[in-house]
Amino acid sequence: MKRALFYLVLGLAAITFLYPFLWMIATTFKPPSEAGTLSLLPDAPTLDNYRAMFARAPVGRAMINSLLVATTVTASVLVLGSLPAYALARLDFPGRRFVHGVTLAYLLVPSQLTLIPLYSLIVRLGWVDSYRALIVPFLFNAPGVLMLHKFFLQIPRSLVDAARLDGMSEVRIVFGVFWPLARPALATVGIVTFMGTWNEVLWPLLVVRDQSTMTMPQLLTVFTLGGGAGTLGIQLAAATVLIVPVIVAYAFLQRHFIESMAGGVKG
Amino acid sequence: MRALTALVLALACSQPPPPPCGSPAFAPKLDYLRHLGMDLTIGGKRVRAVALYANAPDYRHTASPARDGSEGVACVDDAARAALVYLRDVEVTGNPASREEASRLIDFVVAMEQGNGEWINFVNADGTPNRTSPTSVASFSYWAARALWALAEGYRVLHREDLRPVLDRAVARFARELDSGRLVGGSVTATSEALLGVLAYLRVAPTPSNTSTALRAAQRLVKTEQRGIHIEGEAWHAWGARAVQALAAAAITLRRPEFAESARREADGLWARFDRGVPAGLEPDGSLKQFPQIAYGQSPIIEGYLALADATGDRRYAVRAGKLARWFTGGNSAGARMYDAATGRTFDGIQSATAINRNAGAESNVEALLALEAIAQNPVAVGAFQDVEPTGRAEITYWPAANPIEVDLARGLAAEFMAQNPDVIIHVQPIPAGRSSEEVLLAAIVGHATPDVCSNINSALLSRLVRAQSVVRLDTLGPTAARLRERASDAMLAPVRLPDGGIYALPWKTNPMVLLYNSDLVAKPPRTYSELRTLFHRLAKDADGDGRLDHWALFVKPSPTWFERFYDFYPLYLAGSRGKTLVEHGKVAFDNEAAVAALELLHDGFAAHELPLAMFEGRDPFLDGTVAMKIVGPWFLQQLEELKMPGLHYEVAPVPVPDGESPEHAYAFGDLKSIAIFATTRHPDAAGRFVAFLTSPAADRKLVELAAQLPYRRSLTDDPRIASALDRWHGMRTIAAQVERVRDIDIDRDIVEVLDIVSEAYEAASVYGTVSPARAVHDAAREAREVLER
Amino acid sequence: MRHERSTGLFLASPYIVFFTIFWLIPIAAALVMVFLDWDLVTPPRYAGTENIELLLQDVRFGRALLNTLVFLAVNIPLQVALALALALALNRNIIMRSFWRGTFFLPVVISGAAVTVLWKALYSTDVGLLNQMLNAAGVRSVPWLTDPTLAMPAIAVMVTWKNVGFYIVLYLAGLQYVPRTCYEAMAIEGATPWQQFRNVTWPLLRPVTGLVTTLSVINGFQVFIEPYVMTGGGPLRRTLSPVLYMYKQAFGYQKMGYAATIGVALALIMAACLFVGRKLAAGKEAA
Repeated sequence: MKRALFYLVLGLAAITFLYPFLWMIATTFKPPSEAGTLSLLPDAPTLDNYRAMFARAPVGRAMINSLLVATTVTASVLVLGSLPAYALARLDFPGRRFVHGVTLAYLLVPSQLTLIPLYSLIVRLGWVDSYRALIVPFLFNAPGVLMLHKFFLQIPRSLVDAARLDGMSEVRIVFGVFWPLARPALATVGIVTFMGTWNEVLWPLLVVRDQSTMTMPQLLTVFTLGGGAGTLGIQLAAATVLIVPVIVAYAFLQRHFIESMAGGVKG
Repeated sequence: MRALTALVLALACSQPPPPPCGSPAFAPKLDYLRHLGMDLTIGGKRVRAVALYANAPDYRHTASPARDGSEGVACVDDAARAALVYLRDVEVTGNPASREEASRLIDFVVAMEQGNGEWINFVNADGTPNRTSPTSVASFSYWAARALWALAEGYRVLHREDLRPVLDRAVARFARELDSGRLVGGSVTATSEALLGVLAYLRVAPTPSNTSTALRAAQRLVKTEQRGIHIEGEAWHAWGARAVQALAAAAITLRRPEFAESARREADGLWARFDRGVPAGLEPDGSLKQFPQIAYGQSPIIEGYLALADATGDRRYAVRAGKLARWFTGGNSAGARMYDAATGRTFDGIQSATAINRNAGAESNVEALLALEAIAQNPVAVGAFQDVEPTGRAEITYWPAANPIEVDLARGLAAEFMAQNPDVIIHVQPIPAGRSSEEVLLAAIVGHATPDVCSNINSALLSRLVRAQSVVRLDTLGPTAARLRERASDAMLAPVRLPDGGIYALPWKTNPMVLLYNSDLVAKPPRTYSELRTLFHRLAKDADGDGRLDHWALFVKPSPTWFERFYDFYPLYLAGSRGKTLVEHGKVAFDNEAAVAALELLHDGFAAHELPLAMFEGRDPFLDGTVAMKIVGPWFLQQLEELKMPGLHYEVAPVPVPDGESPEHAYAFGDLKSIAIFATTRHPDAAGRFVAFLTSPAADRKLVELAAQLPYRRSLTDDPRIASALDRWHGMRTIAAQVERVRDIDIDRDIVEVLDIVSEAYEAASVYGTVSPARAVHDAAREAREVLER
Repeated sequence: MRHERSTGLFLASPYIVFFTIFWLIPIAAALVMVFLDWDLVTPPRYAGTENIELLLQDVRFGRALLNTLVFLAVNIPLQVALALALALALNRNIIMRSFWRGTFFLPVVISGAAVTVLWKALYSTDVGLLNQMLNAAGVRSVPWLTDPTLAMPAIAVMVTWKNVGFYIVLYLAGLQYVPRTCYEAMAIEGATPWQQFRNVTWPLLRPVTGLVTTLSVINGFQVFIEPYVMTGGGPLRRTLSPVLYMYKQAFGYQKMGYAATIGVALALIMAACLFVGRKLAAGKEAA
């Protein structure tokens, strides 16, 4: 009996978390007259909202932009970020303490502090409305470097020495020896970076004005705020398009998502 | 700290290069004409006239000499045309001295009318009219024609109702001449001038009888055409050649292209033979009689060309006018400067290639000034007049606003301009549909990628552009200065003049906000706040009986976003503030009764739940009848037409004024969009010509017809070149009447922040009622002062 | 040895160049911009301490900070309570644990922009789901986002909903460190579940609660997209967040210097809050 009550309450809680999404998706298929009704099944289902959305906003383009930016940044954080991570872990070079210190310290710097100066820099460089503005400031990120660094420290010295004796260059060592062993860390950093970049909306709002360069979350924001969206159904259609790929990926890779994003904090 | 800052400054800034020079502005001077003025007393009334002659070297007033019959000291003939000169100045500058002068000259003209539409011409020094000279006897001859012309323009510009009876008599008398088939005074020119008078009168009194008189006059002029010149009973002489000007003007006002065709034939035929000035006349064998070339003779040809340019849209006429006008500045057979730029004095004429008549009488000067003023108002003619050096091929980038209609308009106008100006190429690049053109432009400045011309400049942006020294000054650049002179009055330009007196962007269009109302729900539009309050009460209904109101009188957004105030608080405030805006010369200007009254009005509505506290996301409550009224601009008329809501009948009225205020003192909110030339341009003159073209009467007409937007132009509702386009949109005429009484937001770099503060005051006082309107205004003024005083 | 040093430098140099340009210089620039009056287009003007003085008197900034306090006052307790409760629930021997956990965590991975748009629709006075539900139950619609006292709490509730899954996972991880033996011992002694919780679970979870609070505070000070999309900072400035205010100053009024000043002030305030919080927590622990 107590168990049944327990599961009932738990179920209600879960519904609180799921129902809004279901309602949102349902509303996107409802005509304006039905918008806002409680039912999850529209009386007169329609694709008009999606049609209107695609007609009014370059959704496909924005999705591609998001994908492009997120993939490039993630790849860079992993590939480029491995270099300093390895250098910090296994090589002694002048300024090593300094580099490590900067990386640690930057974790403490809140983003609000650098937002405006970074924007000013982008403007002076003439990078407004370009992919560069969305990608270059994020080629490396501090938590990523630190996480990889920590993981690399755990890889036995002997492996490195053996590889060096074999005549491998340091770069080959990073990608040939460390990478295969660092899959969990790479997955963690990869997922966190990818999701963070995919969902980022404030930075694109600052540096991108041209619709054809906007990322999807940004387009959704601009679309909703600017009134171009019109009715509720169209607004929610844009939101749906943004989140459905993530939900699908999440459904399959739930464990990895959770371990990466929540596990990463503890480290 | 300072050193570090200096380093940052050095690294971070790049000063733009100083703007290039284009051709200078031109405006004729009236000083000498004023010198010719003389006071007279006629029938006990103090009036003003002009001295007939003034001879070198001292140019004292000189009366009609004995050899002419001692006609008198002054005449209606000259006074009437002098009045025209001053009236044109009043239209442009609003100068009270010119207004006074024009008015008293017209008083003189009125005093000489004989009560039946006939005039006496000359008057003696003691004020007695000369009734006997053939050039003065009471009749409807050439001086009466000029009197009619002056009275009509005087009525139109000065709004003097007392002139109406005289005017009507004169027109009636003119009509009788036409009935008899006669030319006025037997002269083509006199008839032409009378016709020009009736055409001016038609602008403000478009009665069928006036229209008919004008038509018949024009037709009578067409009849005089023989072998390509308009002449009857005498040889062609330059100072008698006004038919072209009158017929071209008639073609525009009466919408009869055949009149323009008739005028063209003389211009394309005979006039094309003129070189370095207009000759005296024609010999019997058809050859040109060159001398004496008089100032008086240049004017009808120049003005005729300009009128034809307007009527046909062919800029070559304007170019020829400009070239001929060089006669005044040395482009004549004697190489003499006939017009003195310092005083505005013009010599009477050239006797031969070596002999100049340095006297400077009224007729020469009046006609010279009429011609030069007409040139000064035509950008193309001014360029030709000043003999601007062609600079070779010019490529210009032009950024219009992003909305599709304006882009189409822009491309069409650019194509037309390129067709007429083969040395210029225009690249039209719409501003990307990003968040705001402000940021796009400012980013372009920082990135050194600015266009040559941009037409989406609003006042907030302009102040920053000027501070960044990014834009060219337009009231000193030839073509744009001429356009400003032609298009706007000083009063209209005052709000866009920067503290240094310069105009840095040409105010292109304005959207005066008016009250749009559903005529099925509202029979009589509210004129005052009280009437509006009554409507709030009457129209707040619960139609579906669910206990909640679902119909309201007015849609006012409860949102605190600063630009929403353009649709509620700001228009209501301007209706009662007698021209005061929010910020003037960097100081708070809204700390007054009008602001409190506007907030109170809205507060009362919200407090009584008679104004909807909803945002109506995704739908327009006016369109479906949920609200009966909305404050909108003219662009909405186009949306209304496109949507064609069945059963929706709407009308337009000015925004209600506070109780006790007069509608005459009210201003409408009209956000101005201006066109600017960026200082990075390498072709300021070509850019200037293009901007002048974008704001020409023909282009403005398209703006009204295609985009339902209103050009920031004076006398828009009666300008024959454009006014008929207003009828394309239902309700547009009412809105157009507001164009000259419009206030924009102030050109101050902090204006957006001030508007945010005002919006928050609106929210607190009107929407939520947490603070009294007086207190809210006071607090907002205080916060705004802090922002402004930085 | 030398080879290692130069290789190390070589490998680290792109990173060094990067963080100099994108991390170090912006931080320095932020500090410099505090003393400038600059709109990025016209040459900057040296403004001395004007920006600082203005910020100290700025009513709107004060309001933004107050709003953040309101936000945190709703968000933190709600978040801690919900996360802990649900973590405790999931910590038991239950079926479909990964399903429950996955459901609660779902909003965390979803973009903040989408969540904001969704909740804007949920809260809408006309067609919002919440009000529809209330109406169906006979209750009048509540103006969630247009009532000055309700707006910020409404946003706080939304943010709680979005993030609670994350904190559930943190608590779950923390709960792993609570030895079962402790509970068994207390159960034998006759302690009620509540006493077990109060005396064992809660103290042992203090580090996690500390982490949750810290992260919530950091998050709370960075709130932007929610008020930006849902309310624009109103009604009556009650949802104006500090970052939104900074954004307005920079992009609405082009006052880059003042905006940078706000950024620096925010960073300092946040550091102070966390520092004070740490001290308090340490004090409590010692006691």
